Amino acid sequence: MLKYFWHFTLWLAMAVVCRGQTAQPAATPDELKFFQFMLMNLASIDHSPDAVTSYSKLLGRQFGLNDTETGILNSAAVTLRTQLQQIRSSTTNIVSRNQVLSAADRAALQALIINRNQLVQTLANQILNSVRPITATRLRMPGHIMANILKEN
Amino acid sequence: MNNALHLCRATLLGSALIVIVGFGLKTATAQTCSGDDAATASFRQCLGSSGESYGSTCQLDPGVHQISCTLVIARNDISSITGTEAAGPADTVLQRASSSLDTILQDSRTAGAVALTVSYLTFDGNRYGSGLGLNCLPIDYPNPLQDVDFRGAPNSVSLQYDDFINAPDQELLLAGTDSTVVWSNFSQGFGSESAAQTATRRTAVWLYGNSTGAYFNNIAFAGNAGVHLDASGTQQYIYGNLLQQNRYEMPDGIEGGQIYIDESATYASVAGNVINGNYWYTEPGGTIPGTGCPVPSSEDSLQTPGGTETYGYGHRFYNNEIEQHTGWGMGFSGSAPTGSITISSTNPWDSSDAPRYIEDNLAGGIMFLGQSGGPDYGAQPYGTTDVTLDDVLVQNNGASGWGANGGIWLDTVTGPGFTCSMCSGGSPASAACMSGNYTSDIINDSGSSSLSTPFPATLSYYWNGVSGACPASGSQTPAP
Repeated sequence: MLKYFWHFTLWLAMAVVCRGQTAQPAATPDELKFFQFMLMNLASIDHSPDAVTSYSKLLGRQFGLNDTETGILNSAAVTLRTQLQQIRSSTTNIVSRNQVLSAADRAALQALIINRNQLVQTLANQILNSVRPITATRLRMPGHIMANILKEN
Repeated sequence: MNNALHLCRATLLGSALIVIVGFGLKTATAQTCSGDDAATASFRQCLGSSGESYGSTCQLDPGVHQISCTLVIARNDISSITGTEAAGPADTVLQRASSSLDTILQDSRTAGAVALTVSYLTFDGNRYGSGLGLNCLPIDYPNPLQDVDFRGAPNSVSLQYDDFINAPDQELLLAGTDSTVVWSNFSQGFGSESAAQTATRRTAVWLYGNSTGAYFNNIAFAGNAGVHLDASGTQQYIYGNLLQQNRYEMPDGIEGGQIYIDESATYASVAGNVINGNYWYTEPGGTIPGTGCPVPSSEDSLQTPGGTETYGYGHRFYNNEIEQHTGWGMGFSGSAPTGSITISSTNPWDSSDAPRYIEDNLAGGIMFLGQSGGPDYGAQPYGTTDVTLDDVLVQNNGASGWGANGGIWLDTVTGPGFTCSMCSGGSPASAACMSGNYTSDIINDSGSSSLSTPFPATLSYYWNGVSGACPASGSQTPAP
């Protein structure tokens, strides 16, 4: 029930912010690399709660987020966290069966990773269409900067 | 772009599968270690000099893998070393075994090695491990103990999406021209451990050589610097990182900066970072709450860390948020020659970047130490030459009882001084946003400094020369 509440909150926030705003282009693969890092940190089930709180606060400084935008990111993180908890349960089951994983086990793990990345992609695009255009531009920049640097190397 | 990054892109799109090496099916031919579990044994063989049959990717299965002997990367044709991370960094952990005093992962490849990506691994230095006695190593510990050692990297290495926790000494040492550490976490807590409990005893990221860089990482609770640029460094980058409360344990008993730039390093770029001190300090006789380690007996007074500590020539600082330090926000020179320093509120790599301040640092904002000495330091051998202050944003630094060094303290400084590269048409020639600094915005210590433009012509110009009020703290004002 709580899960649906957060979904509703997220969509409500998006509806308010998006009103009258031009649709953003979908996040590119380079841009998604940063969104993956950011959302996995905000949704982390392994980092301590104090670290997640600090990370969220410093993100505000980094990207000039207003309170509404911080709420949008945190709501997206709640959605991802629910999936991460389910994935952790599945992963534990797979790993605990055998000391050495079978090909089928590894394929099952890979399927979980693909599902997670698909959700990250969905959430990233929702975020880009919910925040101010200047914030969307800023959130895209880490992916662009790293793409240029890593391509040069 | 190398193959590993192609793989990362592919997984993000959900359109391809990573080729997983069939660990557990191979026969040991090269390296072995009696403490390895089955997955680690195969991973070790893949990394080893006889592991060609595994291909260019070495992937480790999930689990907490005890590392009793150093994992040595000895094969030149490995392009990707990766864990298997589905739910988070706890999925694939390389933990120093309780019987080990060895490095966890080390690069021993030779000239001709291909570029390498290391990803989705958590390195646990196990500083609290029973029987190791590693938790509170003294600064003069005779056997330096790094967790991940890429000082021998013969080509570029990129660490991505890795986690680092519980290092008993140094965390990551990284060389190799153009090497990077990106999108990685340092001391962010783990399981029941708080972030502070997963602290690194000394330095988190130590960068060597040419064009190495730390980008968009989340770095906290290193005992010394969060990022240290080595004496061998030139044209290095510290970009877009979040640094918080580093200089946590200060095992040397000496305060300093969350970012440290060696006197022999040259042309570093420090840009777009958020560096938050969380008002941390240590007192003689005290105990570090996160790790339980005593403050070193050599500490004879309150130690108040700062944001950046810089020596050497040619360094550039662009649009960093440096806040909430009990020491000063930025410190320059004093004990070593320093010059050709630029501090700017522009960001040459990102014109959309949010504006950021040097603010709320209790001992002062920007400190140029020199030969006159001041209330917080004695006369030093060196000042700073060729200093440019380009439309700097400096506010609310200094506090009664902590420091009366103002927004910018100038001791034996020469150079252009205040400028405004973003002011349209070159008018005004200089600008800054400075206010609320204790006891003054700019202090020319004993008249020791001689700048071409000693004071900004106006305090109300910012962002591409748009006239008006300075951007609000909290960085919510979009750039025009």
